[in-house]
Amino acid sequence: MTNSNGNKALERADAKVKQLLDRARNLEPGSVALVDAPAGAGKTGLVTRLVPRHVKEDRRVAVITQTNEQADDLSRRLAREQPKLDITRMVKSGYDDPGFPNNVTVLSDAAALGSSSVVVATADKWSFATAKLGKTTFDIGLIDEAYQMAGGKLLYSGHLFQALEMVGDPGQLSPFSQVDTERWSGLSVDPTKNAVDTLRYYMDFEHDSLPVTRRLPAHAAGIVRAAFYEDLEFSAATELGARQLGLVGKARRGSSASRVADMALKHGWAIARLPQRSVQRNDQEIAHAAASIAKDLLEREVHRMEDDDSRFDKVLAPGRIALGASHRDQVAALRAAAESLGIEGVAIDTANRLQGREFDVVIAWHPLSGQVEASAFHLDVGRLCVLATRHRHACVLVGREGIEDLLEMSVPTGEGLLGETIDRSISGWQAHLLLLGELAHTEVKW
Amino acid sequence: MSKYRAMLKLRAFQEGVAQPYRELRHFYVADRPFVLAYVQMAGETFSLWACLCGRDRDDPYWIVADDPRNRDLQSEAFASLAEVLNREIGSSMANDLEPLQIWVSNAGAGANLARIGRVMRARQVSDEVSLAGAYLDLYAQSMAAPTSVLCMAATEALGRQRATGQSDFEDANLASQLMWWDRRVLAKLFPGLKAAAAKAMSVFEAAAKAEKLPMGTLTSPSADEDLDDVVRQLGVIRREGRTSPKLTKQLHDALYAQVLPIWEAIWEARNVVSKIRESASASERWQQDSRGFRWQYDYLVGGGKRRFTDSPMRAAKLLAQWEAAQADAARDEVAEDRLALVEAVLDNEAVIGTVKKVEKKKIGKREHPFITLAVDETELTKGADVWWRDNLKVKGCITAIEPLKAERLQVTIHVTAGMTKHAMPAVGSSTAFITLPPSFGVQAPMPDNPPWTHRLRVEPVDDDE
Amino acid sequence: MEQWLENLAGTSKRVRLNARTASALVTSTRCNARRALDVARIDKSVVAAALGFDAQRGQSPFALGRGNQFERRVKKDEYLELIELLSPMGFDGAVSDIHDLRDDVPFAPNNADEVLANRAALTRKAIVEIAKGEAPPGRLIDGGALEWTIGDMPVRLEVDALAWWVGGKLRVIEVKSFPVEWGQIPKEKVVAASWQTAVYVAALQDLLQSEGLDPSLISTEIFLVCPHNTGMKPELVRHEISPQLRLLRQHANKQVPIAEIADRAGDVTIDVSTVAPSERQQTLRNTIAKLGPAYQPSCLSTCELAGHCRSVAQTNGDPSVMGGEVLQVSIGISSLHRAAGLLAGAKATTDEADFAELAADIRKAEADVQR
Repeated sequence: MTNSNGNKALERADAKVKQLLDRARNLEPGSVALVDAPAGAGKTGLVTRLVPRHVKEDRRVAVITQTNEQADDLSRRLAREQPKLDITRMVKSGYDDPGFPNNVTVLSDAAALGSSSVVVATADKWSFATAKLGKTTFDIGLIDEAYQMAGGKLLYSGHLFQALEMVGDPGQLSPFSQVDTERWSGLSVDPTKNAVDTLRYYMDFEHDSLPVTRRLPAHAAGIVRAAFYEDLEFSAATELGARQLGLVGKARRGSSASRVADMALKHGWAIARLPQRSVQRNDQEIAHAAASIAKDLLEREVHRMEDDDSRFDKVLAPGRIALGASHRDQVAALRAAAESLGIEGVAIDTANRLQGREFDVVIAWHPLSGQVEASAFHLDVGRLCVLATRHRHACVLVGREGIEDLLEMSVPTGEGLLGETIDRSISGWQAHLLLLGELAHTEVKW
Repeated sequence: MSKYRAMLKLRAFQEGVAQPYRELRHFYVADRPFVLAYVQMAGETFSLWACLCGRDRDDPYWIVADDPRNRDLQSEAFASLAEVLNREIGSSMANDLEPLQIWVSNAGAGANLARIGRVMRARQVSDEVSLAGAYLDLYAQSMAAPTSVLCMAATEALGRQRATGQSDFEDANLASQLMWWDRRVLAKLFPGLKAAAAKAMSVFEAAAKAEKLPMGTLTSPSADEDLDDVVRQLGVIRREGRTSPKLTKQLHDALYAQVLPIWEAIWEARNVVSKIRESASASERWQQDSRGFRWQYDYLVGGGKRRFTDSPMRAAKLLAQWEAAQADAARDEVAEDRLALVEAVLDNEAVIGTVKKVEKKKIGKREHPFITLAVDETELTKGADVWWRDNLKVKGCITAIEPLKAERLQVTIHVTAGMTKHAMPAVGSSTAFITLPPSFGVQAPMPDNPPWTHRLRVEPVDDDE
Repeated sequence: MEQWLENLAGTSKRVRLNARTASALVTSTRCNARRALDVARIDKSVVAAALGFDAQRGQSPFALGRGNQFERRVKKDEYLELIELLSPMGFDGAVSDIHDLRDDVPFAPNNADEVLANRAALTRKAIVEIAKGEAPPGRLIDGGALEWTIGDMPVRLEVDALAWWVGGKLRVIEVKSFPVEWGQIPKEKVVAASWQTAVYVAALQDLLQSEGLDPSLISTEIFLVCPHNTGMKPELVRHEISPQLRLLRQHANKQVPIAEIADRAGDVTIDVSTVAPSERQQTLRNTIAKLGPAYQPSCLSTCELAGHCRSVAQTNGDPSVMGGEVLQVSIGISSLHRAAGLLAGAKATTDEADFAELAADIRKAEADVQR
């Protein structure tokens, strides 16, 4: 099975990256550029290629990430791809060194940075480092996951970077605070506004986007785009059929989990529907259903075929399956269910914590399952987007009947933010309806 | 709303009385607060129509602007309020050595003080009025800060202590919420109603009657029809250069009838929560409030000007401070209050168990305690960081969760901090560990000026009317 | 269905749909009783009063007065200040072509329908001219009326102002007397204004469509004209209403599901004029109950019948009486009275099992902390 359209897509993707790298040849101090990257479009890959490009022009490069895990992953990846490049990973004091290749130096005292040309750290660490760095500046600050960064953080560290390049996924979870931020609602000074929207208020910037998602399979790209990325143009890197999961083991007769697994492997999506019941949020039956789908996949020996590599021979390992939910108590229920079914090694976490990660199969607890009211939290478009865009092969939604009725009953009135073209509560509601509508043909009654 | 609070509301509904949500009071309540009960004219966002204010329940100041749309009359009312407020604030700083605690009826009334603070400064009536406006803005900001109680909304004071059997929306009416504490209060708010009659009502009847009283900053729409006539007539008379004591009295009496119940209700609420024992950390937080206010007070009295809006840096700093304060206060509450601990257990933010053993194991150069706890159930997982409720400086990490007989679980906690300076839990004791992390403690230093990324080509005007 | 709705209303007072009530039909979809009454255009405040619940609604004369005062200021001297606000965006005030429909077709209390129909005709003409390029830039329509339908129901709309040519498009302008406070407007007010203007934009788009003209001539960015800060100087605020407009379009065409409500309720009417006075309240209560109310606390700020429905909900122990979070926790429980029993340890059915477990957890934790 060739992947000719897919190959064309990959060519477009490569051309875009080349264009962005070429642009890096010239850098105006005071310039800001944004690259939008839908899920799985190679955001981090772009960053790791931009770094050496800038270094080649004799520039000092600061890389700003949002979490320590992201900083560690990026440092490691950069170090492997550029073995001759010296990279500094700046960490908080007392940080547990997770181990890096030799060309990565770990240090916590900003004053000791010397003339390192590449420094990777979290936004918070950069905030603390500013005071110690005096007049030192970096020619360019590369912000990874710019849409997850609170714009307010740049106030602390902005002085350090002469120019900014932001890379981010506009569809995912926004920064938020436990504190009531009504005081600044709708104002440009709102410290919880993400970095991209914040800077947009102050200046114009160059705007590009990555045109291909390498992660999402062909049957997902169109739906995901319609639901979460209306303003972006992108396609999948593979054609239908170029990437497949094949089952070796036979389906267990009469098993709902098997029927769901079959559906997911065939269509790339499946909705497992449990009967309507009034249950608390940590719905044990849903947890059990989700875990048993994972178990079915593991027991039946699923083999992966990847993009034009026409042999079925890469076995689906437990670590490539994820069970995702909205709440920690649901995650606890999933863990308990997984344990009782004897499955180990499967990733189980909240959408917040699954952000940025990638799997072959994702089994997602539908955020609205069992809810009596579609609250802003559950309707949040970012949460649904994260759950629906982690997979390379298939995504299964697990929920009870009644979600469409709930949505119909809870038409949102809007967030009431002056001048915003997108209303996240309304977009989220529409994304939920669209997803359920598009996937109706993949429904399996449990 | 936590599951615990939701369940308490169910209990309250059944029993017809508010249920304790906390054993202790986790916020400071002044002995002699400055109560501010006020109404605005509908449609006039920046008005002050009438207010009863002061530190003495039986001897309030009564300030009225006959028509707040008339600038001169409104400025006079602002001047009266400023005189009272500035004097009382000065007096409390000099004599009580602590800031005035202002009480208002509900959160809206508190946030609204920012509006009055703005107009008092924007109109540039006098230095005294501008100073009072800055104070009010400061107090209004306190409403938004999670742990600051310079300004207290009576509805929130009540809500923090007990859960009623009605919705949060209904609780926003102070009189209605008070019914769930003591229906006899209704007699104080409706002249002519006897306490016994109020007590004889069901709590739902009492609350429905109480909520007819306007307890926010607006007069009731039905009262407005009559008030409109009087105000208009007085306006005509005023333009003719005359006065009418009769009409003025009619207006003032009508406004007084609107504001007095708010005044009484706030005092009732304050009295009832002051009887609840205060936690230790509440007093410390008030000390912080005090210090913060002292700095602002010295600055303002020394002629400093307060911006009308937050600069980006101020906003970011405030948010960071508030987040840290909220995180720490939440831990304090769980550590000091048994009902807060119940709530935390249900939210999987704490675990209660019996200490089975405390072993010391040598790791590197130091001896690390390993605590084994027998618990009935928990959803906490291996690897979770926990802190000892009895001494939050003792930090550990869950290294194992294993089944015990009789469907219990055994949790092993490796203590990683605080072991040298502090005692460990006693074997056989019942104790608890919480998962709420402390705030970072120190905040990143904010540069004096915004970076190039946050500079506008033209700064908007901040202090225009 | 028409007949059922007519029967429901009987001879009782009817209301006209306006922008606010039309958008409410789209967003408040939970309560069947409200839906039925709104679609039948019944005046709910009259029903509430008949049930003994005085809703204390209506706008304060002071608020109305301020609204009128601000509007007068905006329109003073041939719309001088409004035109000053529009000019920076391309509105050509020099070639002013003002259509003051309130002046041209003045209101008279006994021929309101005729007046509005006339204004609607004039508005349509003025807009079609714009679309056909036959109108000068600098055209301002004050008091335009639009006729629109949602589902099948006619809606009467009166737009504060329509301005052409602003940035190449026709703009809806709404004059509001609440201030922009140092750049901020409270969320609820923004939401209300968004829905109101989204209805206007939808009606204008449909108008153009019906004339075979391009609906994209209407901008989805509307203007609010509000007092600036503490004074009365008008300020122009730009706001994008396409999110609400899309929702309106997606839902306006859905058949208002009255048929289901009608089937379940049977033949009922809220017209109790022929019922003995002593039995009126009970009859009304029965009728409302048959229509299928779904009370939640937010009804208290949006529906005149909330007081009645709350009272019924309290008596019945309806778990939604305290709001969403309490409802979520009491999922599976038929009534709050039953919840109390379970809290104390009564035996639970399968539906009640989760709740009973939570109740048991609480009792245990409360006991544990006492030790």
